Amino acid sequence: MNVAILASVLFAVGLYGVLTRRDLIAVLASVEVMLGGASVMLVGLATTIESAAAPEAGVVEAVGLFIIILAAAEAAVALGIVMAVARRRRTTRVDDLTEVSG
Amino acid sequence: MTALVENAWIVVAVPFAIALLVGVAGPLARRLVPWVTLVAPLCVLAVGVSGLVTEAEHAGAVRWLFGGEYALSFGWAVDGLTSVMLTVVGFVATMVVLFSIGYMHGETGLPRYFGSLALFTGSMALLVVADGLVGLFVGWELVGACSYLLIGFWYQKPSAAAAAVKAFLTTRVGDVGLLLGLALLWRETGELGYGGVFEAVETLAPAVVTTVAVLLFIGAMGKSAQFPLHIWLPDAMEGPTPVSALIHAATMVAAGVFLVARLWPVYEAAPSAQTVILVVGAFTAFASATIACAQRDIKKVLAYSTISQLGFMFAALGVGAWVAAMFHLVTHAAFKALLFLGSGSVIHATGTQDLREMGGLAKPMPITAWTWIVGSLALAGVAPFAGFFSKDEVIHAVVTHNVVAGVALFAASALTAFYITRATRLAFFGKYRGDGHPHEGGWVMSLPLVALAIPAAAAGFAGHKIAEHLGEHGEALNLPVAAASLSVALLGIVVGWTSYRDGAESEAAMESRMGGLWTTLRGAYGFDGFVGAVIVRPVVAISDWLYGFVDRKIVDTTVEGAGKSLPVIGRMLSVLQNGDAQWYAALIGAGAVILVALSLVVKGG
Amino acid sequence: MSIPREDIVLILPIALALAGAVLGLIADAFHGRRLAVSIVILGLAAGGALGIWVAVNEDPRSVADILAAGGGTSAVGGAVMLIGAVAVFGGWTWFTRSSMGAGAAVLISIVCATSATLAASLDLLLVIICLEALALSGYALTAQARNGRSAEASVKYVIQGSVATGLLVLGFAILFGVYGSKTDLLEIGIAIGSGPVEPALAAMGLIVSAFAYKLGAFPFHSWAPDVFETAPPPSAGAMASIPKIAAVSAAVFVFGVAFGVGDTGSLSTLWLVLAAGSILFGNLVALKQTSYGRMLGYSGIAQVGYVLVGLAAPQATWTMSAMLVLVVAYGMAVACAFLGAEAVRQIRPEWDGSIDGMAGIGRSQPVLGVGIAIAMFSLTGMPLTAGFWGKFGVFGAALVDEWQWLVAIGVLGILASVVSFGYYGRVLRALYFDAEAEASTVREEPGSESSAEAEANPSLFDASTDGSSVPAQAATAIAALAIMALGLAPVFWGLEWLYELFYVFG
Repeated sequence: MNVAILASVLFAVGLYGVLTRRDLIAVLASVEVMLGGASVMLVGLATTIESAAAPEAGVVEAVGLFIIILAAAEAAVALGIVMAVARRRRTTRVDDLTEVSG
Repeated sequence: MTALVENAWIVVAVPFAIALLVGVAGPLARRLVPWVTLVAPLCVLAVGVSGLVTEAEHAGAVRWLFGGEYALSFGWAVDGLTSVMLTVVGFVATMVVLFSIGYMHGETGLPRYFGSLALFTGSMALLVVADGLVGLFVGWELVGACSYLLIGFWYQKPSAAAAAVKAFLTTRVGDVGLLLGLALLWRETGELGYGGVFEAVETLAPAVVTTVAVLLFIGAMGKSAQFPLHIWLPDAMEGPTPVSALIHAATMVAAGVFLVARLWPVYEAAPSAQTVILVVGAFTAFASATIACAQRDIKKVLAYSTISQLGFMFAALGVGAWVAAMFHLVTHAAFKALLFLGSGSVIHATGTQDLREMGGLAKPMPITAWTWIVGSLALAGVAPFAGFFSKDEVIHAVVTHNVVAGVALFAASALTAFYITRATRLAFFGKYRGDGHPHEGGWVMSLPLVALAIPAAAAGFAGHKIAEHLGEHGEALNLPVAAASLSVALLGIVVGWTSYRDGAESEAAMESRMGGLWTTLRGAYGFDGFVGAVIVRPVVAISDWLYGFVDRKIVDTTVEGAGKSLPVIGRMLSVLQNGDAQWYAALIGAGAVILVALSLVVKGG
Repeated sequence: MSIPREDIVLILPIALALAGAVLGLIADAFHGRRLAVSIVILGLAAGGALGIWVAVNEDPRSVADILAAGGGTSAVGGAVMLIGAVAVFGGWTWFTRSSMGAGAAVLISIVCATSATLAASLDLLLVIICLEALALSGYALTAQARNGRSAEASVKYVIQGSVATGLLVLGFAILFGVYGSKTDLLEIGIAIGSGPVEPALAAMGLIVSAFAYKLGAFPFHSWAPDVFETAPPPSAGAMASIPKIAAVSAAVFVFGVAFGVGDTGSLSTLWLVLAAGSILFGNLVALKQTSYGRMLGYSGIAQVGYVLVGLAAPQATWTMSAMLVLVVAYGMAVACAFLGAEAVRQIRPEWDGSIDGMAGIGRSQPVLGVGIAIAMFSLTGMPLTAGFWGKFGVFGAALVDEWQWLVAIGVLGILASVVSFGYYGRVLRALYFDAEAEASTVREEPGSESSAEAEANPSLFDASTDGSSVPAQAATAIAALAIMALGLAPVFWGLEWLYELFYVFG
């Protein structure tokens, strides 16, 4: 249960960061925190909640790894795009990205 | 002949094939295009006449069923009603195609025009021969699409393009009712084929039957331009006149009447629905006739006249006299198409549609003039022309059921005689007031006029025959009503004739004497503006608001409310503290919270 | 787990598409752009054709317990790949000339393969991986135009997408953690049935949100208009169609199987609320748009709403099939619409992407005009087009149901379809009825010199990619023909034939 609370707090902190930070890099970092919270939730719940059938050995760890890989891939692509924006618009501040709207 | 009836599906397939052929290969053989197109309505006419002559009833189907809840068939059925309609459609369409050869000579885009005419013929045929509401609906939509294409034929004219859109949208509004009626019918009975529907209707609750009947009638109101869905028909006059003759006088607008007649067992079981139809029809008949009195454009006179005459037909349906309504549909098709083509001849010759710029055309254009007069007398309901008989039946039926509606129809008849005489006098008699050189248009234009004049004159005597084909027996002429309507018509003619002795000056005098009333009538009581203000503008406003509010305003207000610490780096744009994307992301988060809450709270669905 | 020999053909379509992607990537690395794009098209076409063949000839069953194949699932996968093939073919001029060019084509091929896999997934982890891969491909494809606007749109897409990913993973975490560390959909469903239901409901809300985001339903829609306005048309067409089709197909499995067991009746309510919001919002705002791409973006929101009505309806025999027909028809139509835009862009390099800017195209390029017109008609639900049959099945199922809210939203959907002609018709009016602003000539020879700064260039995208419009026009025509073929097929072979083709349950 405590694990669930910790994970939720992490997730919420990450989400807050994504919604409010003004620098793109900070936003990306917040994304990582958010996904970290989800991972903690996954591993924490899986290992502390007793269920009818025991999972196979290594399943929980493997799935946890999958999530980490997922987050890393996303960060890689996202950083590449942030660099493209930075090169074009010479800024990484979210406030300056206002041209596409309506 | 029976072979034609047994393979009645060709009335759909052949015109469609011709439409495709003409539309695609037309530019390669421009000379041939109109003549090839002629085959399409001739085919329909042939099948219709075969049906009448052999009195055959035949049905066939491309049937498909699928497992479980649905069972649909896409088939066709020919009976008396179908044969009558096919004959009418085929005959008028043939005349219109022929007339178009002369009228549209020299125009660009003719393959498109004739292709659309062929497509329309096939679609109308589909609507008529379908053995169920699904096929009818497909044909219904297709004729609407063809109407759109043909009204907007001269698309470079903004008014034409706008009229086409208006026609399509207004009839679409009616189609919503039609669709809802179909859906309700299916939901309650699981049937959409005519046979199944008629059986099922007997077991349905009256409220359901009435609702279905009214909803389907709303569709008919749209297609047949009854109040308040009539606004598209006068604007549709932007299309070429032969198109107006075919689609907006004789056939497509009659589809609404056909729908009610076809589904008569449903309406028989729904007397309240009939009352609705009666009220709408009678009101429209009268109101539209008043508007027609003040129109300056010859085609607008005929347009409002069509709306009015359709009102007559619906009024007849409203009192249960569907045979009378169909009889009037047939005669109206003949004389209204004749009048439209006649007006086309006049427009072609003088280059104008304004009655004030015509006059004295009887001398240089005798064929047009005489056929026009035949058509006018038929419209006015003067014996022995066709309109007299059919209108008599209609009025007789209505007056015996509902005095108020009957009086409205009598008044409308009087006005009908008045306005058509006014138009006749202004156009064909007196001195020529225009600049052109009026002349007849050649045999391709004169032949259809003469050909249509024959049924306009004589079809009245076929009333009994028509009734028999429809499965009922004909009514004998009711002398008191006939005498009354004849005198009313003659009265209207006399008033019209004498009022317009001096041509355009008479019109000016009428305007000054009637003053505001005349202007109101000419403006059709300002109904268009009403629709624009009450319906169109609010929808556009909601769209604007939603777009502006959700996607823009909220962002602005949140930003201003949240206080700013703006890094000003040379840009004068509105700087958002949070940035668009993050606001969007916040929406996502909020949405998720709501959905999670919903799923936890709401149980069962 | 080994795959029996006779089942190999079931996964061959995906393998073909992936092979095309890999080989294309290699070819592109050696600067063989045209070769690369050709390989991609071949791979997708072969995979798509094989997928349809499998759909017709093989009964639905599962492969190695992790993928569904045969029947409707393979039909969806095949359709997705064929749409991808047509989209890449239509974008030939763009892909062979722009600097990112062939790489984008390869990405589209990967999108197709991933989508086909997503549609077939029977394992929740696989679903998540596929959704993520689609998202990443989407970010890259949005940014490919190499100008400031598209980079900006892409970054915004990233931000929103990452929140959606977070929600999805959190939901999965709850399911995985609470219900015995299972990733297979069926096992999850069974575990939910025998355990506490509240965590599952919370997870359901989160995963529905993630799917709704992927589909672009209201209020998770905000990424769509920006992406479809700034991505080059062929890629926009692929992105607007393929992932949505796959997500709908996956939703059938995920929510039908994993959440089907147990007391999760509120699922239909969620879909219905999303459907209502999407239909209303999408249609009303689309009426306001003057940009062609944005209009298609907002109208896509409405179309998703119609599809969601199908998800909310109880699973009668053909309801799911009709829903898949609807989304496939939408995919074909929107791909056709965007390919038409690409053709317009090649014909008029100065086109600003607006609907008014398309004036007169229908007259000067009749084939193109008819193609776009067919797409518009299918989107609005005109009978005899593929879109009609999809809407017919979905709304039909909604209207005969007892749940009055479902009936009400079904009616709303029908009304909205009528209203939608207001904006689809505007395109038709521009094509055929509006006068051309200034004379424009058809560009058949290679494009003009590229300019230094993309923003200063009057062309919507990089001018060096201007060229022949023939591939785009041909692709539009192919897509339009397919729409009509699917629209007319039920007339000849019966509606059942069409729905059976997309029946996924075995």
